Amino acid sequence: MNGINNKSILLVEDNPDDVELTLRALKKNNIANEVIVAHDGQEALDYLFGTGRHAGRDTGDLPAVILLDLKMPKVDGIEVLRRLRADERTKLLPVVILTSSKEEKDRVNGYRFGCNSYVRKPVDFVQFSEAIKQLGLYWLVLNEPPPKGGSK
Amino acid sequence: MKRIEGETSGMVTEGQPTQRNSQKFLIYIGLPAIASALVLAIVGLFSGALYRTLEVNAYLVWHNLVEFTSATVSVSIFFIGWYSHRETKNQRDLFLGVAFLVVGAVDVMHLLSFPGMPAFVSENSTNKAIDYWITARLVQAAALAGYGFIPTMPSSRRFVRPVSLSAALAFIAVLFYVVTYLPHLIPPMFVAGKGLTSTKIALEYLVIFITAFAIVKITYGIRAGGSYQMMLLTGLTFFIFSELSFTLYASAYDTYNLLGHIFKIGSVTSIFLAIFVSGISQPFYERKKAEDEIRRLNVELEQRVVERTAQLEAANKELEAFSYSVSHDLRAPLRSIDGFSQVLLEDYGGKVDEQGRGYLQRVRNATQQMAQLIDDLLKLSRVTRSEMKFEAVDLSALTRRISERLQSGQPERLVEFTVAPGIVVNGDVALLQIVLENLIGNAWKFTAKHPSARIEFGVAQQDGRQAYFVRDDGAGFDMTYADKLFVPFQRLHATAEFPGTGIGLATVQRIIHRHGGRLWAEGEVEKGATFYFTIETQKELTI
Repeated sequence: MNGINNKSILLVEDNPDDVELTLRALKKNNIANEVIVAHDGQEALDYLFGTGRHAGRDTGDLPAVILLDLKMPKVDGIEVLRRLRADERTKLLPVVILTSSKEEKDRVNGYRFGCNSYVRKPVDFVQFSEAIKQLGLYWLVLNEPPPKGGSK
Repeated sequence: MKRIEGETSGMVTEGQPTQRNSQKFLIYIGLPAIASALVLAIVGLFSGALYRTLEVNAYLVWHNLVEFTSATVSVSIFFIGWYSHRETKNQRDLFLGVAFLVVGAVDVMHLLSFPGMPAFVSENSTNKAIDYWITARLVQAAALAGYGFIPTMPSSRRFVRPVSLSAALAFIAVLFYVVTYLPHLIPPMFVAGKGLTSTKIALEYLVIFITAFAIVKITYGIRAGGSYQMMLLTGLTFFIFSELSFTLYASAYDTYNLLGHIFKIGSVTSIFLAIFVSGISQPFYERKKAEDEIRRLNVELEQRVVERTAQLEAANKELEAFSYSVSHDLRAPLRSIDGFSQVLLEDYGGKVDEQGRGYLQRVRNATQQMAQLIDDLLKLSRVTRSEMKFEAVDLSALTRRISERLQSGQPERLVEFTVAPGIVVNGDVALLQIVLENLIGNAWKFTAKHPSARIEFGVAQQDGRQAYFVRDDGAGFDMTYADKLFVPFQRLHATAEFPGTGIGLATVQRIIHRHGGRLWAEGEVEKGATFYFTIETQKELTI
């Protein structure tokens, strides 16, 4: 039931409430993998490419899945996605867009720029919790991640 | 349509010649008068060199030519007057035209009756020629005098033209008959050896008198700038000099006779020009002006449309940004409210009593309600904004799919669906789907309290039009509140009884309106409800 523990999740989310609720949902469903939280797009990119505040990090150690919010200050979700997909190191990383938005154009852009999944966050916490559980189980347990290290 | 008589420049004083008109009088009357008088004076003064009498045959050739030319112009006046009346319903032009048909015909008969010409049915003589001549001149003068009395208002009474033409032809026929077969009824005009009789001279002065009257009448009827009416005055001026010449001739073949004929051509030509402007040039000019005006208005309209479209697009963009904000930013706090209420329940549930837990549950319910409301509002706004794509939509098939989905979601419910087959309309498929989902969904919802239910979809004749309906035998509604049905957020049942946000029917109504149709309902408490709607978008179906 538990995922292989060296699989980590990168949660890119600017809303602290949503961060707390997501972490809680993961814990409640016994998903004990490490969760790295980036509070905006720039932080996410810093983490993935080992720049800025995450300078010096071993960029070979990439998460098994990225849960990506769309509307964030500084650098937004679509821009993060674009840059991910443009870089050889992170091109294949599974990205799940996790957003409140139901706007058609967000969905279109998400898939167009290469997300693997688009999930709309329910308002109801019980449903939200269930959604997080399913995401965790699927991407950390069932899904086979791409080879580590990119094109090394 | 009121015809503008004459050019549009100039002051608008009716009936009174203005200063500008005085200048025109000088040109249109003064000049021809002076020129004609000069000619007569010169001939008079230098009669030795200029006055002569032509030999009969030479005169006849010349006379035939001149009279025929004059008659041709007269008949042209008729054709223009006839045409003008057909197009612009101008009574005056018709009157002049018909009169000059008579003048032209009688002048031809005068030509044919001239002594020296072969017998024109009966023996030709000077008297006969003069009879025709004086008749033509009287008709001409009377026409121009009567001109001012003819109403300017256009009339479309269809008998006017055939009647006036028939009258003219009848007159010509009668005149011919009398002059040819009953000449003894006409007083003599000319006595060989003595010259013109007093009758003839009196008639000539009568002509001049009538002509003078015509000049006065037309002058005082001239509206500002009416130069074509001025041309009539020119014609009348030449006419007077023509008549004057014919009082001066000593022989039927002399110079004054010749001049008289030339002045006559001048007269008839001026009148022709006048009626040409009135009947052809002016209407053409006006039509062109109208076309230019329309073109200008079109351009203006186009510009205005472009402006309005830009405004609308800007407004739409704002609305889209607003909707986006709503859909994204309002939901996040709702999720927090719901989430942390749940967290409270889970982590501190033991420390909170039953009532406290109830309160927290109410907080969660309220957030659910609000989330649904946001979704419905967004749907309503999208319905108004979205571009409609018209195609053939099978309402029966849609209804069946919706009913199947509802049934499979709650298989325990006993609901009998009756769907009339083959109902196809021309409309936007996505929007019509929303309509049916709402109506059938409502029927499903409001029959939930009954053990079994019947939901029907079909088409009926209402007020002579095809109306589609969804009928159920569920909770129904009180008809006294019928006008609240389609108002957003207005509900006729408590949320505890039947869930809902009160937006659904408002959305349906908006969609039906975008299809040009009407939506109305009939119902009775606990007996069920029927919702009717019409679709009026009958464009060509795209196949």
